[in-house]
Amino acid sequence: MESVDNSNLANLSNLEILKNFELIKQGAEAKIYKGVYQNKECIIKERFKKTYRHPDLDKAITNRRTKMEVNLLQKASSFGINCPKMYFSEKENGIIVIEFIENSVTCREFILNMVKKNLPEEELGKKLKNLSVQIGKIVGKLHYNLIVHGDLTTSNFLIQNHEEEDYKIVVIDFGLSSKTNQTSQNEDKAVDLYVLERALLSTHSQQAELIFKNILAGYETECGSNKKQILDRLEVVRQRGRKRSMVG
Amino acid sequence: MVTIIGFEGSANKIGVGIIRDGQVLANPRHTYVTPPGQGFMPSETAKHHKEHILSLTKQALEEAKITWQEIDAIAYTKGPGMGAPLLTVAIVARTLAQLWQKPIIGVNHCIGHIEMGRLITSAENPTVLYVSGGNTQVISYENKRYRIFGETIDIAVGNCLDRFARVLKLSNDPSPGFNIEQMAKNGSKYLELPYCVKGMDVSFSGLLSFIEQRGPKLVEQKKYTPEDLCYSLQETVFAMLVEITERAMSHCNSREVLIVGGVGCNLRLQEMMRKMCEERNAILFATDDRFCIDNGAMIAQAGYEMFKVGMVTPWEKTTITQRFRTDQVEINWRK
Amino acid sequence: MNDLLTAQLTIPFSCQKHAKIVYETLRVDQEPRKNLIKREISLNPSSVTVAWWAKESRILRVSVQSIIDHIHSILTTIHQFE
Repeated sequence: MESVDNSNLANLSNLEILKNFELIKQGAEAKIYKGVYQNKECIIKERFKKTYRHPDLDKAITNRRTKMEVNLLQKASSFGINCPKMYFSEKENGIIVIEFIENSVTCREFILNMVKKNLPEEELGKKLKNLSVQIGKIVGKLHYNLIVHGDLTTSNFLIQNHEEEDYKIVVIDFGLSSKTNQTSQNEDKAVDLYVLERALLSTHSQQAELIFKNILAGYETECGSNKKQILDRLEVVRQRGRKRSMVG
Repeated sequence: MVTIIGFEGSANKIGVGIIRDGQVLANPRHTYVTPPGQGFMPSETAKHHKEHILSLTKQALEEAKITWQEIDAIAYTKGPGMGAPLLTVAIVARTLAQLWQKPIIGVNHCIGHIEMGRLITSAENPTVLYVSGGNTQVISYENKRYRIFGETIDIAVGNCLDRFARVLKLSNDPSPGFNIEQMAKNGSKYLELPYCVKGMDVSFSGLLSFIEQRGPKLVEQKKYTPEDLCYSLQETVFAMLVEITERAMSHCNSREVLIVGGVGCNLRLQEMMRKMCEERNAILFATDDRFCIDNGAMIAQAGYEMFKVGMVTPWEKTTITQRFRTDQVEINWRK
Repeated sequence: MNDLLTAQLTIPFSCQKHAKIVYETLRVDQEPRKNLIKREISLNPSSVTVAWWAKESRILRVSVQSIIDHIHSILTTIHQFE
């Protein structure tokens, strides 16, 4: 674990309902604590002040993201998507308290461990395919309900009961999420997929193609009637990346 | 002792640099400056490079106090960049390679920036933020490649700054970005602008059209000064860059950041990045305009690394390419 | 092939070495729009011949002009650094 500045704990300790919390991770924009809320294990996410950015901008970003996360976690859950339950939030302090997903690893570790095992190629392919199709379905479902996650990486899917064949996939971190609308939905969804594709390429470069292909296969079954428009748009977004003039 | 001469001309600077075992012996360059409100066009830029490349080569040899016989290989920018200027430089590099009978090495421009930054700052294994007029990338070394973790999904940050400088009709001398930086120092009223981070990627086109459309009106109505707008623009785009860099660091467990590319000499960006680094016990490495801005030594340095592991370019492959991704090159010189 | 525009340029040099440098330097690059223009370069001991076949005069003119520019650049480099 990293040594971190605990000065912001002051905010947290005011929350008397929380017990025994400890810092487990300092992410890029939030400190993640594990604690107990009403006798249930919970995760506390605290968006701390970023001194490098203008105070007005900092406040705007923290408020917007906390609000969105609270809002969309609840929405996603109501649409039957597996994500942590929302327990409690203090939007003005950028704090949310959510369900702790027991016995889970990130999908990133899950894949890296799977690859490390040196399984026969066919078996690895089958396992990756099964996993990817399920992830694709989750993304499809989010998109069908006009939720754009904004940070789709394999670190933001948790695999619960990962030792078992019928593990459960839970999507987390809705901090960059947004609600899209009829006019911009194809673009927003395509960019969401593009971010995921790029994240796969940088984190799982050897398996990225296989994974993404199957993610799209799963995605298509859940994303609704405008799948063609979304996939066409994805191609446009990709081209924009490739064709951008790289002068300077 | 290995001595490499490097030629860079992928955008509006033409530079010739000489590197000998980690020492910069010479690094003269010349910038094609266009009138306010105008960008640089390929054929005029190529003409500019053609006019200066030979005298810069002479100057480099004189400053380095060496003769051409002491050079081990010639490195040139293969891409990415503008076609005509790249070709102008490649033609001279090919000619010299034959005249002097030296091996020739085609270098990826972005990798030149990274290797130069590593040389100057001694950063070991940094997360690299590469920011210039044509590129915005967050890069991390992994398994023989510089992998791109985050990048712009539309225009580059430098392009965004340059285009706003054009709206304000700021001078292109020494560069539009430099003049935005100076204006921003006198701005104080913050205008909230669209802030767009997607995972580790960023988007600037929405922000640019917002400020292009609203900016001039806000100035006319005396609600904001041009200085305020430059200030707000910098605060917003740099916050986005620092955020994605931090995301990549968190993802890769990195404790070092290196900023390279023309926008990298912006002191406000460096200051913001330094604050972020302090908060997470990391170290910031940055260079000044001599090495941040396109130059010949950076191409020589990448060429030096390539030469030492035998990555000489076969003659038929000494072409140029306008699109050449950072992650296309196998980095055989690093563990 | 009748409708194609053609051009041919033969440039003599003072020695075979210079002709060879010009030839070797120019032969590397391909025309960017291969379906609209074709270019062939040949070396005859002390001269270089460039031949073009193009569908549009504008594209032909640009290519001829750029080859002349490049040859000029190569010769200047030779004269200053030989």
